[in-house]
Amino acid sequence: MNDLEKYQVAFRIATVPMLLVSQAGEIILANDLLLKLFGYASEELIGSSVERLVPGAARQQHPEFRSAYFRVPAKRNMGDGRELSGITRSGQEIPLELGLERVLVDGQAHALVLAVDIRKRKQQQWRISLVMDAATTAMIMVGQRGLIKFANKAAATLFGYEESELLGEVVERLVPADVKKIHSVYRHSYSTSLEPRPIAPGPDLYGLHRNGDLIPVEIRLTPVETPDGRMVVCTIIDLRDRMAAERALASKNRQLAELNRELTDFAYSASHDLKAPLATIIGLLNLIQEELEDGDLQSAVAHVAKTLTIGVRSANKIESLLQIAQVSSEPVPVEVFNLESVIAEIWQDLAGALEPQINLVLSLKHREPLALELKTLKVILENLVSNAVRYRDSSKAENFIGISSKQCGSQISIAVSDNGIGIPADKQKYVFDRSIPIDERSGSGLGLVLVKKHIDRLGGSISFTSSDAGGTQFVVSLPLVESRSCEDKA
Amino acid sequence: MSTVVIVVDDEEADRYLVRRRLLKAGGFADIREATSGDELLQEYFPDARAMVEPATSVLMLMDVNMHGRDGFETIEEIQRRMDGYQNPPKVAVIVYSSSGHTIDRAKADRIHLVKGYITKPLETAHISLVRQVCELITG
Repeated sequence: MNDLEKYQVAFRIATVPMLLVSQAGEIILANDLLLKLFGYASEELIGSSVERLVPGAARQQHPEFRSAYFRVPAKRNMGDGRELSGITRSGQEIPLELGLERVLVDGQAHALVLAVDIRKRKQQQWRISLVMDAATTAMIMVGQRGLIKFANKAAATLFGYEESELLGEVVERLVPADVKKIHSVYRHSYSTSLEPRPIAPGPDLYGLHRNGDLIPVEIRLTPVETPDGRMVVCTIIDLRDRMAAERALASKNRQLAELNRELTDFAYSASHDLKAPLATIIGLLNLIQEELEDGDLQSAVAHVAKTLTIGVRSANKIESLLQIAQVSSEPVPVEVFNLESVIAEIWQDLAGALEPQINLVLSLKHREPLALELKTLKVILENLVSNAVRYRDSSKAENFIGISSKQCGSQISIAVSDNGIGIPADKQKYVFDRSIPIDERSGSGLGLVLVKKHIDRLGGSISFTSSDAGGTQFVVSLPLVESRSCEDKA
Repeated sequence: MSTVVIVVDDEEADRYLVRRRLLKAGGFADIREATSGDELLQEYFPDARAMVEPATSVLMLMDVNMHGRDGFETIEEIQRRMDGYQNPPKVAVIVYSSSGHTIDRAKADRIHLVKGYITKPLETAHISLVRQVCELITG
């Protein structure tokens, strides 16, 4: 039995499709499995060129590869790392895994070719990658030496790459510069681990985006055994949305806490401020009732007057409280106006009729006109000026109230100062507190509370200096509204 | 020995109402007024000295929400000053507030000097409590 006959026997019993090809590329033998795979009859294929089985794109180069193989023969898988396919009689391409062995047949070098149909495997792989790409969670499979063996679409998108760009890259490419070194150390130590585990759970884990951005992530590692050895599947969760949501939630919580505090304050305030005058009124009405029963009309009339005064005062106070409550609920239009004329108007209303007169000293250094919530600014100025008027020091020969302004960029700062009695040192910390009037001269005690709330809403600030010796200065800073009409006129 | 009743309230009408009610009910010979906690302290509990009228017993009807030092702060200060006195007067406080808020009631309960809590306005029904506390001090 010569060599060829031996191969013929072997080919009959082989369980994989096999070919024997001469150095010239002639098909010498093909077993039934191979003929069936490619759809040929034996007599059609035997004697023809092996290139007949190579699909179009690779067919031209194939003879070159073939002769190179015979020059440096080695047992190897053909096209290692590349997609290989054959073409059937009917023109269908099928993915193949090919094994090559150089053999001598009757003294002549031949190539023994094993061709395994990997359509099913490919299909399975394709399905898996479809599933992986459909997954919204980024997944990367890392092999030995930290090389990326697989990255799904979500992973590529997360880091700003194409999937194909990541394949074969070192995984440290996705790690921020400051931890690249330590990462490779950790990777080595983890490569011997068997347990799935998260990477350094905590707030400071970041991935490196192609554009240099750091992405907060959570990563879970799962070791897997593959035919190509141990690999690690990294599941990477993008925390940006979660962190943004957490921030939004925290901010909402603060808002709610603030609202809750206001509500508690309101309940307490209602219990004191709102109920107090009613209790007084009830007391007085009881008295009046008794006096009317006793026929003491004179006392009754006096007490009715007293009751009225308290009623009016209390209604005013509730009005002030409502104004405070409405500060953040109603939008106030921004208007363009001249501050100087607004001050003149307020002054006329609050101090115009006073005897002896109070001197108004103006020193306005801002650029007119201003673009601001005019109504709000009026509330602020009216309160500051009326306080200055109310707490003037009558023992002084002359009373003055100074209003000055200056503009720094997009901020206007307005100061209202006086030579009044000043705010006692021990009362100063209560100035912006709700419902702690300073003394009998105080109105509702809510004016500055309202002022502060408005200023806070506008993103401005208010501060004051005052002393027992006399003289108080309030300084209000407010951001100006960008206004074209303001610029035009300026 | 009679008890001095001091109405501590920054609302004039409320002081007046208490005075009227007590006078009408009878048995309260000496009713005085203070318009704030500070005024009360200055007049009746001068710091580090014996009380001006050491033999007297004092009942205070104390408003809570007042300008300056509030009622509770005032009571604390009275206690502090009396601790320094050689011969402290017999003192009791009835909290007299428009607020029936639990925060205020709980606060009042914790203070030793406070012997009663009346929600404004003072009515005839409250007079007996005021008398009881008076008797308690005079013993």
